[in-house]
Amino acid sequence: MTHLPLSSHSDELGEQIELSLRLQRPDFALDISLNLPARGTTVVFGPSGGGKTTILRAIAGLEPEVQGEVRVKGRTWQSGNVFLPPHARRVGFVFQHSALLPHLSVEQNLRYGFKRVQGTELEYHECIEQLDLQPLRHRKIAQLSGGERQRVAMGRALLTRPEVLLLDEPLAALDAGRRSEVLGYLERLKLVTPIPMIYVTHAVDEMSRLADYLVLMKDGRVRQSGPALEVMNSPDVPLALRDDAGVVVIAHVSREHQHGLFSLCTAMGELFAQGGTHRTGDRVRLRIHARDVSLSLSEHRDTSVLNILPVTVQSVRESVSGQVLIQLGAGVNQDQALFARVSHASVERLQIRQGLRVWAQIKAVALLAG
Amino acid sequence: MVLPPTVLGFYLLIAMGPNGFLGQTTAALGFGTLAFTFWGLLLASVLYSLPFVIQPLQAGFAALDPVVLDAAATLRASPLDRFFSVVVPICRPAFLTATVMGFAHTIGEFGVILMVGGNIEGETRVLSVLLYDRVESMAYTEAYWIAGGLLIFSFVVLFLMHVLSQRLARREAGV
Repeated sequence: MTHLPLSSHSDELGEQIELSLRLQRPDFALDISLNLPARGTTVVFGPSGGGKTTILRAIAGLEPEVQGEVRVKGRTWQSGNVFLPPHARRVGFVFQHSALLPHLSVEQNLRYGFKRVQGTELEYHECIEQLDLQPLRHRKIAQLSGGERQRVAMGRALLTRPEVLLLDEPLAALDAGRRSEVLGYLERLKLVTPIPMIYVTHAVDEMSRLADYLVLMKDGRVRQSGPALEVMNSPDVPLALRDDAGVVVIAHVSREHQHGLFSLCTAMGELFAQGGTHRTGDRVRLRIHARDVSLSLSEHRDTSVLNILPVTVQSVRESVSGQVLIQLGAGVNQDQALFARVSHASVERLQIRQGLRVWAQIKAVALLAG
Repeated sequence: MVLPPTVLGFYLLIAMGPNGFLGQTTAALGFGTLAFTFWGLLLASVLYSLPFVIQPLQAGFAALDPVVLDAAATLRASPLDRFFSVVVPICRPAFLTATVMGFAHTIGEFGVILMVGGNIEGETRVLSVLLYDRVESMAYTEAYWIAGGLLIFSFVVLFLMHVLSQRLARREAGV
């Protein structure tokens, strides 16, 4: 576990969200203890039914049976006999199916919480602008698309001046087109708002794009937690066993070429990627799947693969379906993590072992915005 | 709801009488006994019609998505605030149905009323009892007028309810 004791943590107590939650049901048990940073986006990731939603609902005070403690930025919301009711907690909650008030218009939904916290018109118009809600204001809820509903739900929650914004799989009920649209708004929100977000999902792409801090959950327990890139790029976590295992790399667009090709400056060296509408200087996240990385003993230049890097084998591990996950070190110091998934036969033929220097051919680099 | 009205009326009459627990309570509070008074009649009618009011309300509340109430709670609405700003407006058709059902059911009641209220002019003589009274004393012309009036009234109530619920349904659909 990368969970650090409080004394060695650089954050002050006031800057944290401290959770210690327990719930015992016949078919389900939750038992977690977490200190999350009260800034940036924390993604709680794990399979369905693992207790992720229960954590969010407990933070909001919607699960009174959950025992334990909830402290946000030094303020106690729940502890022992103290239980602040949901309406007294400064949270914003975005539900999976938006849960807009069906008898009210968009404008009335946005103002429902807003007038109860007596926000200023300036805040209201700022929020409307950030989420492009102006054209929707006078519509009825029944006239909104799924993506628009979630945008209204996000705006409605943000307008209550929350100390933490809780998002429960806000994209799970949307089709692919709407998903990427709302994901774009979430990324924009992440940049402009200082409000910390706790985001629950079981989708790898949402996790890769949004997470600053990552909590991996399974069966009601925390498997691993820590800074997102550290957790995502560690070969020890359950993520590495998944079919879509891979690493996430921070990159800067260093050059734009013809035909939508970019040069990217990363810790593992220069990479080429295609797609998106990025400009020189933009900071982006890349995801490189283990299944898209192959290995060769010599540097092939007679190949269609653009991205070929010198790497060092750091470990060889069993993976799913009889394959082997190879942890590689790339970059100047050969310490930037990269994974390759190859067959047992290849490992034997190339005699891949720890310390071997090989060439990694990266067939695809997925650009994640933000 | 399955209790015959006269049976309910009989027990209420006993309870409201000088030896019943209701009668003794009201007497001790200085109101006298409730039997054969307007207030006794009112109490009996409320009891008798309550199931017809509760049923539509219960159905309305059951149809309410609890997540919407959770959302209102995270938007800083207290429980009472949630009741008036979310439950009442969303369940408006249920409240309407309950009101009309309760009213229509009460106005047509006969058994309970005759038992508890009797037939005292200016005090407990309601329309349905008056109708019975006129028929008994062979005053058929008057009986025709009362019966016809009640009939028309019932139709008007039904019609209004139909129109209102349609209008509400249309508003719900967002057209």
